[in-house]
Amino acid sequence: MKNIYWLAAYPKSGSTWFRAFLESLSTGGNAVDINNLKVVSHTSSRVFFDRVLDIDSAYLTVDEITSARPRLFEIEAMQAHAPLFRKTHDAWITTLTGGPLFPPAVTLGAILIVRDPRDVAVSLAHQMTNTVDYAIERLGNPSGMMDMAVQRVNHQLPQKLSSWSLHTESWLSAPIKLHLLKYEDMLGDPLASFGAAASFLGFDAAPEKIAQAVDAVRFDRLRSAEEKSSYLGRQPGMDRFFRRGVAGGWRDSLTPAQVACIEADHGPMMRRLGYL
Amino acid sequence: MSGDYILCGMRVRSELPLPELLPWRGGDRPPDVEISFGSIEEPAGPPIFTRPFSRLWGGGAYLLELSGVGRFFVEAGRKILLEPASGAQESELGLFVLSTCLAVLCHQRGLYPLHASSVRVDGGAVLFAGDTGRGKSALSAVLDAHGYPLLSDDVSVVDPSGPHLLPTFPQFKLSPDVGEALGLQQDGMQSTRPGTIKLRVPARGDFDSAPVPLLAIYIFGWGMSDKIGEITRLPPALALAQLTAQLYRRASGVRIQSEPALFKSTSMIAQTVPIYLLPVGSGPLSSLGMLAERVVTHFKAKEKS
Repeated sequence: MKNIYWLAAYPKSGSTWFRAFLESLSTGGNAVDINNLKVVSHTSSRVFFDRVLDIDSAYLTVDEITSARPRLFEIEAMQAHAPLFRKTHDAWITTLTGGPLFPPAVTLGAILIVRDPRDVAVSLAHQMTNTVDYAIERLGNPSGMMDMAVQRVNHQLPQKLSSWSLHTESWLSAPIKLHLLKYEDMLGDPLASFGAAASFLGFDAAPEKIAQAVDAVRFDRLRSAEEKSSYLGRQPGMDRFFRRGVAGGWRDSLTPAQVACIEADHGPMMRRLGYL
Repeated sequence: MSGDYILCGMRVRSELPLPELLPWRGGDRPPDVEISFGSIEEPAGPPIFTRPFSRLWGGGAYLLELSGVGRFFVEAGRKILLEPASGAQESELGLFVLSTCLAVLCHQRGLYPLHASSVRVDGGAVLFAGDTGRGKSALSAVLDAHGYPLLSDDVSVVDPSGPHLLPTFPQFKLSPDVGEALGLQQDGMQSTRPGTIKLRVPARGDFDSAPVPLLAIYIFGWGMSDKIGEITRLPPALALAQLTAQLYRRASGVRIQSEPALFKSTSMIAQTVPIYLLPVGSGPLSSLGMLAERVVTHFKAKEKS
């Protein structure tokens, strides 16, 4: 029943880009429809939860939802005839009922995409249409949640993010096969980094196929697709989802105090990943 | 208070107070449905369908189980037995009785419960179906405030033989942001359940519980942010697929009613009632009024033609 590969990432770390890559790779290097990515779906889809578990998540508490999600994954894995790829922003946590949110019994492996938290802070502030200081606070919040319904029922279920450091640590120490993928390598050496990740996921793709897929989802192409047809994943108020697609952009966006704050909050994990 | 109520045209006798419902005024006849408290005895033999919150047995007996709320046993389209958890509120029990249990009961009776809100327009029912969070209740609340009274919120029950809409009760479940956009005073408003965000909001229009002909179904589709796309009538095959997808408690329903029986009901509805796709983005709630106007204008124009 081991049938699921998790694609785990703290928000704004490149997981949508990687989803687009897998979509292209699965369709022979074709261009992708950013609003209709089918190969990798979200683990937190409210519609999917409601339909498969035959219940209204809007009438359930966060604890009830979180405790039921492992069963959802087990049902998915049981019904699958081929490996599934599921994206998540959740940390690798244990639910209130005592079991892991992402059951190892259905897990083939996980790719953890990481990005320099200084760049994440800038990008996250943009996504939340809020200040960088607010984004830095979010990155450092060990109780951080995503899509917590406060004013409206979101299309995604509440997800336990934790802080950037704890999120990363939780996946690195999970008892599953893990492949670490750095956003900076996806930019700097796309053929090698995307290729190694695809190979980890069981894709037996020739280098030219990897190259075609990488080319099909070049940042400028995704950005241009968003300009032409918008992007459904964009939050209201955001001018664009695919914004800069660079590494080190924080250098011209953060104040020295903001940099110091992030490094103080996440120094050990940043050093471990080579960001300091 | 406990008593006899009208729900989807049925006489419901309930030991659980259901203040959302109107009292029964349909004359002296035996109740169609009885809701009572008691000890639940599960059917012998293993369930045919199991989910984290529910179990279903051959013959259609259904158990809903939420550890903090209680157990709900729905049987034969006419009985709901309740075993409340310690400390559960009556309103929480009522929430699940009038949503999941109602839908299962309808499946057991051969009816067609849709994930939809509905309002009365020109003497008939217009339905707005869609997944959670798409704006069914919000759109219906705007229409209700503008002279198109609510018939059902969130779960709309259709009798496919008409097809007719069987109204439920005059109450919305609205998100706080929708309440704010509608200018509702939210202080003191009751949430649907502690730990969840939707609020119970009484409908403003004149509620009539009599069955009404079903005139049109609008299904929410995805559109771009800040825009309302063109409303299009779905071709038959797509209409069938989209309607089936909006069947409420579908996974249990197909096992209670059977796929062929549900396909027959879906076809009966889709052959008689126009089904439109309403592409709406997750834009600001300030455009709700515009959306309501677009839908009413569209419906009236189609009705004339």
